[in-house]
Amino acid sequence: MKRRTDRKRELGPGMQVFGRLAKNKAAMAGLLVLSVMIVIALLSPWIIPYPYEALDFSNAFAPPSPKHWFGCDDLGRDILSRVMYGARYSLAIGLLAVLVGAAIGTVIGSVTGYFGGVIDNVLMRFLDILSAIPSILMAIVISAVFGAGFSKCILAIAISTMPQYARVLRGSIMSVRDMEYLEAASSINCSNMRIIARHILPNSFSAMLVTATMNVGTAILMAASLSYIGLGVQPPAPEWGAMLSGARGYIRDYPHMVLFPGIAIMVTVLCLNMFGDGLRDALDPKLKR
Amino acid sequence: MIRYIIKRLLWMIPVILGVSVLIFTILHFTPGDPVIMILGRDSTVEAQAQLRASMGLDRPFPVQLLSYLKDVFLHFDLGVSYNTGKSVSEEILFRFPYTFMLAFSSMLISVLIGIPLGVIAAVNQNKLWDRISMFIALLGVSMPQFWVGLLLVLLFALRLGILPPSGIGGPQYFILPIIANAFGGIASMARQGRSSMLEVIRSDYVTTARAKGVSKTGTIFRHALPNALIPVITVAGTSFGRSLGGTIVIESVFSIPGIGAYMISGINNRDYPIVQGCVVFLAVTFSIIMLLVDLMYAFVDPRIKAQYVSGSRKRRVKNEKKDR
Amino acid sequence: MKKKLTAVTLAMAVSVMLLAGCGGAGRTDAGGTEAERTTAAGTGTPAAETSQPGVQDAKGEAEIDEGRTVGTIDEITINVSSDIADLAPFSVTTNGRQSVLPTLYEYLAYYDPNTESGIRGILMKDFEALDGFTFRIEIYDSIYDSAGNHITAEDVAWCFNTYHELGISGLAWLVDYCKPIDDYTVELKLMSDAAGQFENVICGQVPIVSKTAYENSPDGMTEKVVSTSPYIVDRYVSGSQLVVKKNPDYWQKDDSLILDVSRANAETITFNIITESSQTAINLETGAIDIAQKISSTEASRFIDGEDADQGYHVFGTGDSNIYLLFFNMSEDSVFHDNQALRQAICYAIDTDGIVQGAAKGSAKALKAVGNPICVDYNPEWEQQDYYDYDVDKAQERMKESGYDVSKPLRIMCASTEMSQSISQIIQAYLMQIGIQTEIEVYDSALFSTYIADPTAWDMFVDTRMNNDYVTTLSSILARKGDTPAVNFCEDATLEQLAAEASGATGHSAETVEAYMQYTKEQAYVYGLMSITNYYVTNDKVADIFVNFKGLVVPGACRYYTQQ
Repeated sequence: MKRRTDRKRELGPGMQVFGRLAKNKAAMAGLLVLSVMIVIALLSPWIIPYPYEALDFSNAFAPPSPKHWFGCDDLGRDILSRVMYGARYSLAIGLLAVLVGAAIGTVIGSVTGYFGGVIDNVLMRFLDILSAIPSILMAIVISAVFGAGFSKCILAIAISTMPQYARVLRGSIMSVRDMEYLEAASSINCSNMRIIARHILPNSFSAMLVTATMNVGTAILMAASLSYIGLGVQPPAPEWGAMLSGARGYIRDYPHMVLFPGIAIMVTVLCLNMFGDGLRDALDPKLKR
Repeated sequence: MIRYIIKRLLWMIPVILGVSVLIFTILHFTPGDPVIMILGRDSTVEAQAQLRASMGLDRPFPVQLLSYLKDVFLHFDLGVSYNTGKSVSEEILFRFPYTFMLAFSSMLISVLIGIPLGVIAAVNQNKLWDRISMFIALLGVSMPQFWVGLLLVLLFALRLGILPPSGIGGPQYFILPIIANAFGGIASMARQGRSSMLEVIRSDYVTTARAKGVSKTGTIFRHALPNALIPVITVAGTSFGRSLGGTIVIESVFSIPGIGAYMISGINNRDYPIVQGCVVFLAVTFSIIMLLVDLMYAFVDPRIKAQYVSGSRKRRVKNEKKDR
Repeated sequence: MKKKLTAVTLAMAVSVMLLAGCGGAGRTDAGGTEAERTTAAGTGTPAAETSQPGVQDAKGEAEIDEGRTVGTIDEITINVSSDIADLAPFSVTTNGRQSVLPTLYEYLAYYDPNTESGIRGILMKDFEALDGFTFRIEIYDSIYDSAGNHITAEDVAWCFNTYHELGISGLAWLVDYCKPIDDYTVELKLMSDAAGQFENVICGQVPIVSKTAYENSPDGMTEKVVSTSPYIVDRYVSGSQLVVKKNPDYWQKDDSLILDVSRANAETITFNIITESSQTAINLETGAIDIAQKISSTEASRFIDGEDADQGYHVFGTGDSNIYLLFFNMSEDSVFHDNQALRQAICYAIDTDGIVQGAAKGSAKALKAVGNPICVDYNPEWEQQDYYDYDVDKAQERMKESGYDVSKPLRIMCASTEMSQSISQIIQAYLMQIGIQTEIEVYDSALFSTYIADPTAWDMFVDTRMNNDYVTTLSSILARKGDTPAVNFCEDATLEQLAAEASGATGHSAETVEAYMQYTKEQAYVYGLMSITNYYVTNDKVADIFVNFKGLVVPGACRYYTQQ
């Protein structure tokens, strides 16, 4: 994994990468499913068959039927509607946690990678400290600090995964920073900021992109684990992990309550991973056929 | 080499110090009052103040922090639980074997399943078998752990009745938790296996071997595989270290009295010495494991051994990237 | 956001409820059952005690199979739902500890609401009330612990004082002092003369151990327990399992004086910690445990009339000692302050039967007062009275009176238990009908406890309160205690006056309780939601279970079918 990024030369033109990616059927399948999910999530307020939080005790525990494709939960809410609407929460947690984590990580990683020296040392030691704590542990502790909830859950996951991005970025910056085009840039009096933003970041982007794609899935799973421990997103928000852990007491009597949110998580994370793997292969010039 | 090990060990001290300060500070400012947790929601203000004073929680933050650090670093004492007065260090040492066993065995299982999947994928690059084996590897990492755990229990404990559903006891008690925990690691093993195998397959000496007329299978097993396995050590080690913390959910599903379950009880009761103790202890363990992984890596790969001797910083960078 | 809960849905829900009958509602009526059983096997009529077919009253006579011998058993295993943490006598009370303490230690007495005074001595031989506050307690002169230490009045006083000084229990504001008078008599003075206080202090708070044994214990008895209990610790695996063995040399030799709670009907008892609640029933079905305590109504119904019925399992049910309540924020800046109409509007808008059906799946009983129906002073007439019975029209009317501006959403706070969350979501739906928007804020138990103390953090909260002796005991949460505000920051001198009159040991009478309760209902500072039914399922080794007043099974006191 690391070697490829280390030795990675300049990206081929974007089209070339895309061409390679398009040939990867698994990645394309993943991308397709993900796109459908995102469309569903965006349109969900208008296309869900029932209001996602409407209680209807007469339908409590209703099994899947033509009326309720995924059945109903313990309070008689339509599970299909909840899963569809819940995609907003789950995907948003995944994407936002990654965006926030990557943003902080990018700043730290580029500063430390480019400047080196004392700054590098201080920041890297700080990251050493953070990464000595396993990320799920960190997320749990941070969730306990902030309390449960949607935005707090995102923040907890973002902070606990942030060191990864910083390290990936710093690593790839280290590997390109002695390259000639940078020397050229600084010789024509480009400012440091400009060098980082214009030259280094784009070159380190591919490594970040792969990590980020995979981590969207990890974040969704982590949110589910937090829900299980009681620190994740809270009802009535139909976040998949919260639905799943809330329904686990009914796993034997009404398995449909546990199966559908579980499958939603599984399919999403699987597709993210397939796409991420494909992306990495495509971005890696050495793997060109 | 010895100098390098000592240097790394010494370097652990400031890192652990940092971890201790960080976790203590975070928890100190965490809302949720341990005193109320102990006395109950309807307790009187006087009783709360009295207990707060007797627990030393009314002292200023720096004083509390310093006294904690002193206990941890000078006496190797992680304190006592607010609730029970029991020594946290003792409890952790008692519970650690369960967590260690769980994490180590699941790492082994994921190597045993993940690497063959990765090799199959690499040898059949971009063909159907590549996709199928990677798909299988990814399935495991795509499911929430507690979901997998419960489904396994339903199948093996309830329907088939061949394994106990939870608790500890003979080896059979650990089979389900280990499998459930191993699922997540398979994907990263398979990925690492696949990519390093691909790299080796393309290298000159394998081409040479093929040119010499060695069969494809022969090349793979005799030449490519051993070399491809070197980076796997790092991934396996990292995944082992990380799953020491990651067993939290599994311990909870299967009621295994490991460190994760202990920490959750600490968080629920706002029993901060327990949470701090667990985090600090896991951080130390994690750092030691990472050191061992690096040493082992050097041991099997002479190229890197050479780097250690020259003390290049570059290796550091590489390792850090491997950590992800 | 399309939030709508149509009247149609609700009407349907109501009709379903009516069709379903009272479901699991209504179980024991307080005076009717005899909890302490004689050793002779009785043939009760359990069906009369609980309205649910297939469920036996956990505190009543069990359906004993006449053809089999009932008595003792070699080994029994039971679940404990959370970590026991430690076995020490004086320590913070957690759920896990509550489950094992009655087996590990003995208290001065046992609380049994069905006897005249409610108190039956275990170590205590007799007691005498000097006034509402002061009591003389005489203990048996033949008490020895498992290490052979003789227990005297000095030990008893020492236990009270030690626990008191540790400051980790509620004793600090319950007990004034406890001192030995002679070898076997102590004098105990309480801080309050409220009804139920004495029972609470001597029956549920302080386990009695020998001072010598405690001081000689290397670990403060966190693992090596020395007590007077009929069981001694055999093995303790922290976080996982506790195994106790019958003490062959139990101090009470006179069989007629041994209470059921102190019996040792099983040679070995294993407590298995099972933290994942959905694993409890699976453990029972795979034979890993024999008694599954406090399993959900959904799981219990599988044993009652579902796929696991007629497989030799016995299901027991009993009212929980806790009741679910909705608290209104009465602090000065709250919308509920000085707005009785708004509080009443909300009470009318909530259908407690709907909560019973939706959140408890029918295994509960809607409250008709701020008190648990299992309490001895619970007036059965309240059942017939109107207690903000679901009425949207009245709710709308009160809403108009209240002049409350609905544009600002109210916050419902609750702890992250499944039940509290379900209740909050249902309340949210009901309030939407009268135009009140709500936001649910869920916190883990620690944060919840902390935020309750902050009047700016919530407008209403849903929580449980233990109430198993007198309904008036609950008045302590609505009244100020010195500097400590009421739980919901209520400051009502009239209420406090009525509560003091009704809960004082001397003033506690049907009239004062009635006056207090009617005022409490009318003011609606807190709204009683429901009392839930606890379920206990056992396999066929168990003939009858013994559930103590905290709703937990005491395995030694259960009766078993003797194995052939």
